[in-house]
Amino acid sequence: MKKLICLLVVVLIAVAVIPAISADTALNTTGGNPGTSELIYTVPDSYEVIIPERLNIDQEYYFTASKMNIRDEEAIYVVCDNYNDLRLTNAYNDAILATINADSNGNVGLFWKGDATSRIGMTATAFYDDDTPAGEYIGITTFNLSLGTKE
Amino acid sequence: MQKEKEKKNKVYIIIIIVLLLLLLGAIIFILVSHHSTPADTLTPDSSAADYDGNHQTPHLADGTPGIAIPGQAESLVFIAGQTTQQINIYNPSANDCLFLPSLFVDGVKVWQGGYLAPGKAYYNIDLDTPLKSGEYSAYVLYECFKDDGSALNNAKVSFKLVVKDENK
Repeated sequence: MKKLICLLVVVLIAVAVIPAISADTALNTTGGNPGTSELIYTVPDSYEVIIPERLNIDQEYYFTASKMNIRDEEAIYVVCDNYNDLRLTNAYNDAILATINADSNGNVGLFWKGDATSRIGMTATAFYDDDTPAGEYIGITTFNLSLGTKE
Repeated sequence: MQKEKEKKNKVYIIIIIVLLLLLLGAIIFILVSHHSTPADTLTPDSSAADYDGNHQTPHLADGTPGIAIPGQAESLVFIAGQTTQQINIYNPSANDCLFLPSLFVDGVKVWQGGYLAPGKAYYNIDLDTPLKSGEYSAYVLYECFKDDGSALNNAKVSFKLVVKDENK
């Protein structure tokens, strides 16, 4: 009887230890000792800036962003390539010239981390005379987007 | 004497029964924790469509129709001496225009893609000529067009290009 009781106690202890052993996830090194490894991964910057399809001189534009996952110390700068020499035309190919009005650093758009709307707007000034036919003049340009350090 | 022996046996039997019950309980607990039955599931709405991206067309703050231009990381790495390179160039699925992308390195065009529809991408490109190791200024030029061929505003996305020898 006593031997049976002792045997049952031993079996019970053995069974009770099973869940604890199965939860153990020790990592063994080649030396047979558990060790740790540090893993490092850098998530790359990602952003999407929304530019207008076409330029309409009468409007002030604020660019928007559908994604702005950059670091705290970074910024996205938007400049207009031919800001001094824009050519807009109407449906009859009559042309007027225009310039883009940028900030003191030449930027027409500025985003910081998480921004959905540019911190600065963009306007333009058109040049025409009294002989210029009335109507809507539209032009296209190239916007330059770059990731840099916040100023 | 006999009575004492009988009493002792009764105690041993009780102890054995208790131990057996504990053992049974432990075995049941282990089995249940390893073979848990799935919880009752909720029924999803079968009328919902498959998600294939944001269907809202891009626009500026005042609602003006816009084009979403994807950026690049501050610097990208290419492998020296080979023309096939990895780079993510895509047309966001929400756009309503075609992209004609090209890659410029130090002001020289080194790759020209085809018309890229919204939701499409290039992940590997073949340069016109391989590059030597070093650092370059580069940009992806996105020329944008409506389906009827009418031109829209373009965008350049600038970045630093680091060209490394393979395995370095």
